[in-house]
Amino acid sequence: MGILGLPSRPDHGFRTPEGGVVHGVMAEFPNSAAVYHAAEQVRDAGFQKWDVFAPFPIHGIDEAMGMKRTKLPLIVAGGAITGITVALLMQWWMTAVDYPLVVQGKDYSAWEPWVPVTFELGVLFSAFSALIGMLALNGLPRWNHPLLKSERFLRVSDDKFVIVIEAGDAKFQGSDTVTMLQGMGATAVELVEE
Amino acid sequence: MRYEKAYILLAGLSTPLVLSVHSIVSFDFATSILPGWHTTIFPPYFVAGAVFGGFAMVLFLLIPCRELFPNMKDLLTLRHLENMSKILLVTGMLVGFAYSMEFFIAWYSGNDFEYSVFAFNRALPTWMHEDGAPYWWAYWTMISCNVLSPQLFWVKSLRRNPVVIWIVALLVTIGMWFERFVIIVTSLHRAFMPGEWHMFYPTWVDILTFVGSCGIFMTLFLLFLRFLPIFPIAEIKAILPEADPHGHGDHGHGHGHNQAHGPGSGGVGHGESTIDSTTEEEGH
Repeated sequence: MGILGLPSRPDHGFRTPEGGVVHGVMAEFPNSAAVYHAAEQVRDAGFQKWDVFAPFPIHGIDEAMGMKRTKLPLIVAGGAITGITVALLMQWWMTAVDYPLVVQGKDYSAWEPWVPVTFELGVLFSAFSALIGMLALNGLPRWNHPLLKSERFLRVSDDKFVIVIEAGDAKFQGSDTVTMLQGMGATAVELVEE
Repeated sequence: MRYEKAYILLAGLSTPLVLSVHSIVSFDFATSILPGWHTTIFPPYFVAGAVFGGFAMVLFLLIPCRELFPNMKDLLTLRHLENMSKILLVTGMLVGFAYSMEFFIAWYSGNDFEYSVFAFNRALPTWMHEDGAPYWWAYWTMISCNVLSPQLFWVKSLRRNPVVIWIVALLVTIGMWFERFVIIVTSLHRAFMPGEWHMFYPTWVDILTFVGSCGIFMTLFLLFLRFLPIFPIAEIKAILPEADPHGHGDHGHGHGHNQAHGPGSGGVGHGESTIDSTTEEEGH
């Protein structure tokens, strides 16, 4: 099931009773405190490919999930440095190389008049890299996601809280993982097909 | 997490843009040699004026919205209006300081042309002096709207009264229009050559451009109210007590309901107090 010719996910061997490939196990929780403490337990169990879905950002959920800090600020810093460099090179080339012109007796390559353009281009490139970098790190935009097939998952944008452990995780153990999630206070657990 | 990081980075990037946009707009005036425009105070003066005029315009639009939309008062509270009024008071005085510094520098710089513009061509009424400023009324409208009217906000009951805030915001919007009029028209109508001195009479094109710009602004504003979220609910939800399950700081405040779900979801350190959440509510 490749998209745009990209290879599909490797088959990990887990099947639903109907024979479909399992994307993962979805556990529903009634409130943010329940999902928060379940996330701490999933983190401590050593899972890697899993995520928490909630109708709003839950404070501190990144620590509860053991997430590493995002690389986004580095990408934005790269955008800023690129923008500043491009702006300086462009203006230096225009005023000192391509069309040298004496303005008020100043040196051809006087940098002072370049400051506004350098600042603006630095901000422009930083803003682009912040937006595009965020989307790219999140794997967006994408056509579809297996979770969107689940009726239960849709309530995540309303009043339910969900943890999904993907079948591709090295620690994923089928029905044992389902039992583990039920033991954490999940009100419903279901398999999601790929 | 990436979304929130991108959000805060973009916010950080756009904040200095407020300064750069308005200072560079002011350079359009300041780099010319026209007395009244050729002024080094313009960049900070324009930034202060932009914050001032912007807050006034936002209050001018939001206060009617707040009355007309059901439940909007729960989200845009009187405390928000009061704090915005304080910003108007502060930036109004910053702008007033800039107005007075223009006069000081006109005298202190020793520049004859600058001095004559500010001594005779801005504030001095024609009925007080034969060489007075024909546009003295524009200057004093600007001063009374921008510097004097926000002084009402020293009184707490006035800065907590939406009607008073709305009237002051309207006056400030008028005053900021006259600020641009004073800078552009009064400086241009009497430049270096007395032979070309003249009064400004707007043509029908000038007037209709102004009317049309108000019209297109209101059209876009109403379309915004109709089609885009005035309050993004996903962001409002993030400040609910429910969104802070482990209670960083501020313990016991508002956690009563979401903690009362038994041991499986028990809150950190709230276990006892949450069994009877009504008792806890009364404690606040």
